[in-house]
Amino acid sequence: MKSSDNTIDTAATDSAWNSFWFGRSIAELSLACRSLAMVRIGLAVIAFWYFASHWSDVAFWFAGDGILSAEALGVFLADADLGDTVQWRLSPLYWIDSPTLLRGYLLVGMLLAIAMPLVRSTRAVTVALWLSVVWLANRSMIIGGLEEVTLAWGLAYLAIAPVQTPFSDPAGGTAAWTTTLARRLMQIHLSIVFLVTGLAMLSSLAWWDGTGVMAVVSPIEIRYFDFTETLRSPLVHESLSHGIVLGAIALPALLWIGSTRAAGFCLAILWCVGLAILSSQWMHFLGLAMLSLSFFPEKFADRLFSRTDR
Amino acid sequence: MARKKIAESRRAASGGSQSLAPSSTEATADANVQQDALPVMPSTLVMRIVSALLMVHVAVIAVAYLAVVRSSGVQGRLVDGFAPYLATFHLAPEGNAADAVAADGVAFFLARGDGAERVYRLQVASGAKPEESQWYPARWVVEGGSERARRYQRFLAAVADLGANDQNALAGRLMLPTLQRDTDADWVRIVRLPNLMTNVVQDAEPAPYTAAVLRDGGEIRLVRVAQPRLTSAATP
Repeated sequence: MKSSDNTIDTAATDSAWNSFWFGRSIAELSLACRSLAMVRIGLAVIAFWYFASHWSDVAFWFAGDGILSAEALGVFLADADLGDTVQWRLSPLYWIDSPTLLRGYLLVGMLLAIAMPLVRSTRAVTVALWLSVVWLANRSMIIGGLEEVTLAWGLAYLAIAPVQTPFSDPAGGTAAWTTTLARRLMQIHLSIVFLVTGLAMLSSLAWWDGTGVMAVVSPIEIRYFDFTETLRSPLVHESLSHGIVLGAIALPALLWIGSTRAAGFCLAILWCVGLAILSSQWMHFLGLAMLSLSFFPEKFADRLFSRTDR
Repeated sequence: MARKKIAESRRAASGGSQSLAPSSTEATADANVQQDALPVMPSTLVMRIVSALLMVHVAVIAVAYLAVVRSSGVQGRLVDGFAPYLATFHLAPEGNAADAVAADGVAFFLARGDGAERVYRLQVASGAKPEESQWYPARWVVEGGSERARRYQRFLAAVADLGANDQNALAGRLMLPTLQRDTDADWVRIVRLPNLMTNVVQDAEPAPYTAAVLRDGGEIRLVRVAQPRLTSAATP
């Protein structure tokens, strides 16, 4: 990286940067295509689930006489002097108050989710699905959570890349570098989420004294499974608490170092699925699990797809 | 079949072009990889523009995530400055997101796990001032571990948070539409359920929001009912 006169070789630095973001080899591009195709299928399922989960209550929340109707929400935000804070949560759904139209919107969203991995001729379906999710997320003020954020950024990066199946040949032309770019953005964003989650856990004493996982499972009224008895032993819940924090902090490093990527990938899936089961935050953590497929290890891909090709 | 095509495309791409620099951590020992060639890259101008945008994007996302638990002045200004980008496209959680901060302001960001996380229940009662046994859960609230139920919890948490901070008018604003649907309710309150991680003092805390429902024809008004709060004299 350094030239003979001890100055930074800018061409080499430039090249490493460009190789990282825009692609370096056909083999890497092939891996990016396969991993993004798997992410696309996973996020399509979660996006479908997201729209379907709104089906029963969309009129209850957002219709003209709904709890969070545009009018009621507007008065609340004006009274609370929050107008400036939320002014950028833009969505055309603020102008829709008919229950039929709101359900029609959800139906379109579900159809787009089904179509996204299937329609390979254009990125338009992915862009449309991304905007549909973002608009519903922006409309879901007060009742929205982390699952919308995960879905929104995942779909935003997917919209950059061309649509391919895990068995497609690497795309040529501009499609090649946009595939690598989309995968890199997804990997970086996911690493930030893991790292900040781990660091943020350390801001709570529960994760230091080993009771963090008990705090996760304790509100049993809003959990699918009751693990309070299973985890009652201090050895079990303390080990699990420390493991969860350590996992979150170590995951970015494990995923980026080539020699530990396979172990990191398995740990990431285990971490996400484990927390999904413990916390019942299914959509958020399973979304992260799907996005972890952007780190799908090359040796797994070779084994999986070469076996399928035969 | 697909693998054969990929192998052919690799050969086609590698023919007559420069070979790959083998410095990446992702390079494998596979002999095929060593023969790989560079795929089509964008022009230098495009790469420079995209690189500049990437640096800004990644920096803003990192700062926005790091600012959720508790932001410094610099972080806050940066996130506010990029709000049109972050909020419009829903790219990062907000600092005051319901999943990020518990009712008493303790952060448990991104992965739950703080004793402050509580389950809220909306209860209503009819008639004159109700006894404890006369309160019953509102029928329209969905409970359980589903995403759907979680939205009701966030809504109740928002009202309870306002009530606990004596923002009665704002809490009432959110509650009014719910009471137009429940015509039998003369009283409404939101209680926090105890759990394994809560202590005696937390369990004894009064309901964060209790109100009487005054109906006059089609109009409804809510009057906050003050609840006795724990004082130093009341604690053991």
